[in-house]
Amino acid sequence: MKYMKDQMIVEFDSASKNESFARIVVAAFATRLDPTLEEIADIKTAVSEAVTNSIIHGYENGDGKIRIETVIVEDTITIIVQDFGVGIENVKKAMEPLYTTKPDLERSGMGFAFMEAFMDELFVESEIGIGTKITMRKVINQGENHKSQIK
Amino acid sequence: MEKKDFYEMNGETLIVHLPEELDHHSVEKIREGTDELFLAKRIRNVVFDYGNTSFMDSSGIGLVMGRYREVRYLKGDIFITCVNQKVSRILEISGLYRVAKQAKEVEDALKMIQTNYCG
Repeated sequence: MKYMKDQMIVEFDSASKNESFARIVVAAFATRLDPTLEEIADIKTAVSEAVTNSIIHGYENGDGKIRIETVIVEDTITIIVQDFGVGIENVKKAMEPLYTTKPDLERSGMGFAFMEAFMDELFVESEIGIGTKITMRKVINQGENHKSQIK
Repeated sequence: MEKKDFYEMNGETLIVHLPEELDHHSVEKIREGTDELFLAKRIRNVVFDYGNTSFMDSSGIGLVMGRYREVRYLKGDIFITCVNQKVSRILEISGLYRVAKQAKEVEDALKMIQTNYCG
């Protein structure tokens, strides 16, 4: 089997209307791995959470750029969502389910929990005043039955 | 999607027909709409209709939780109806079913509300 690598980079303004754009563009890129509908839904939700975090927390609904880099290597998709905003003071605390710094905006505190639930791996790097970088990884089509389906 | 009426009143029950994509962007608009209705009318129950919804993230959880806090004062209920497979997993993981009641259709939720309050 030939070694396969593919990369896509997109950068856009931090605005809530771009949330759907972000998840659709990553999902479209992921289709070359022939994912199941459920896997696509997982990716869309995870991307939506990361981008929404950048908009609300990273830039506090102000101006800024959000960068998404997506890399496919063999059957693994890696999605890196990066902002250059305020950064997270306490990453460990921020990742606790139901914890939110913005209850007034009715944030549920489930963002990181969903990213963790729907992706195989999640790494969060953040620095105050520099920004936040979320790296998520997911292996697509792990099941043997999928292979028999496409035959 | 835009053409459809999002909100419907039935007695003291507000029915919210949710859009196809329930994210931070669309949730903000719905929250503004429901806030206005909560100020203008006496709302005891809220029925969320997920019939058209094929995408949802944690912003959608915040929306339901927020309305739950509002109806709690009047001892009302929140209902989640017409959930399809695409959003059911999100709803299950979120633990929303611990605070919201589940009904198959909007009509079923309205029936449950009637039996509850009128014997």
